[in-house]
Amino acid sequence: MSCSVNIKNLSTSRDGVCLYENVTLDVSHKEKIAIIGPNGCGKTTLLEIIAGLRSQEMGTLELFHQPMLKLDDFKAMRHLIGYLFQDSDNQFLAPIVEDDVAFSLLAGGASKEEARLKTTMILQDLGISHLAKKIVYHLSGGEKKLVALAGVLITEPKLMLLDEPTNGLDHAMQLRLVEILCKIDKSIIIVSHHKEFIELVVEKIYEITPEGLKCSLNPKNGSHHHHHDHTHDHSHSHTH
Amino acid sequence: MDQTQTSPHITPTTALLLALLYSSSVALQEHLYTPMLLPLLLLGWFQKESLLSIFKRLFFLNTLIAIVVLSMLWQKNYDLALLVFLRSNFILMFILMLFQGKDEFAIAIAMHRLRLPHKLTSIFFFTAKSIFLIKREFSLFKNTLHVRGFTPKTNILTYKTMAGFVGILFIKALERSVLLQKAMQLRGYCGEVYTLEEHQAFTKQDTLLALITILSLLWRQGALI
Ligand SMILES: Nc1ncnc2c1ncn2[C@@H]1O[C@H](COP(=O)(O)OP(=O)(O)O)[C@@H](O)[C@H]1O
Ligand SMILES: [Mg+2]
Repeated sequence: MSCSVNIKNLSTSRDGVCLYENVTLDVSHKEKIAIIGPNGCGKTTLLEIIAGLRSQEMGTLELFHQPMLKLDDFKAMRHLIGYLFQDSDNQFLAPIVEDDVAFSLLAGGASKEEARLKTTMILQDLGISHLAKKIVYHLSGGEKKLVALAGVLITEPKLMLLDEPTNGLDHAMQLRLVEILCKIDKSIIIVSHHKEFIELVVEKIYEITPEGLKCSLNPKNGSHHHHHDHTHDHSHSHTH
Repeated sequence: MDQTQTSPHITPTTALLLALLYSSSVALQEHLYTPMLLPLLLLGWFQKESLLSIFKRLFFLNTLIAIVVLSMLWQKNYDLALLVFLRSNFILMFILMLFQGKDEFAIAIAMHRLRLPHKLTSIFFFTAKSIFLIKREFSLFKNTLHVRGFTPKTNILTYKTMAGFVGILFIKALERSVLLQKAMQLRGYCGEVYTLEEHQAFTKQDTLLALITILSLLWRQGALI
């Protein structure tokens, strides 16, 4: 089976305190999973390890079947990975919404025309076209989150790592996010406390414990028929 | 419409250019002339709603200027004192009124649009971003103190709290810089800043203010001092 992420026997500690040992996690192609656990149990740390922002202590990590031995190995994978920060303010690299959304695309060498087209499309998809010319720091928390998400989606990453994506979103926005994420046909790892939310999106839920990850199937969202439910009635621009 | 600006529709680019032009000419000319007041009057009219807060800020800035001016008065250098006082107030007024309602990001955007070097622009933007985040941290802290019933006094608790806060600010700034580096890695930053905008829409106010400012600087009649 083709996999996006394979983690074997990973252990991590911070400041000498062991967070978890023997974490084993496989995320197959186009699978959506959630990682839950109490505050400070190391969810963000785990995402950072998968994204190559931090090195693990022990164990192996493969992305798209390539072993990631050093932080340098992640460089070739960067364009395949989209990462949404817990605090959107940390995400922004340009002052104006449309420039920030287009950032990764332009940095990857895309032409301005292509970038402009895709930006317009993605802002429309997320229902935030009216924000295009605003200054990112003048937006509300929920609007910032959507802008940050647009900046992630625009490069069409094969693996998306979302750190508490519902933080600061109101109920309507949360439902919109559920809709958006369900439409995306990519591997997604969501870290969240928000049970109702993840149950609507993911197929498997992993709980972080000091002994490792405990997996449970999501009762409300059986894996396979779910895909079909959503891919049939929406055709979607950025997912294909 | 360009939404990066507030009520008086002077675009950030125009604001930055005119601020440089006006302040350098006023600062470097030997005399001050009456027409130099014209752009100030025009701006004052554009900003008529916020004049009060502008004058408040001007007043506080003048306490600094007062030190310089008083030292000149002390040396009986009356003309120079007046010149320094007027000059600095002209420039301050112009800049305060021009940038009223704009923030540090407006300046970053202007630098970007003027196609200044990428290094300069990104350093300025990331600095602006850090200042913005620290400012927010600061106001959060003030609110925390407020809702937890803290009133600043001249006692050891106040000093301890403030010292602790300064420490926290440093740590937060450090954390933010680490996160900024992570964002750069993840999003493929390679020293360049990009914009999708091609042409800039200048407003009527832009044109009017630019014309008046340039004319006022060329029209050297009626020396004030
Ligand atoms: N910058 C840091 N330096 C040292 N320890 C940290 C730092 N950030 C987080 N930690 C510690 O690492 C642990 C895991 O943090 P984190 O992954 O952010 O948790 P979560 O995202 O699950 O809330 C926490 O116990 C925290 O105390
Ligand atoms: Mg976290």
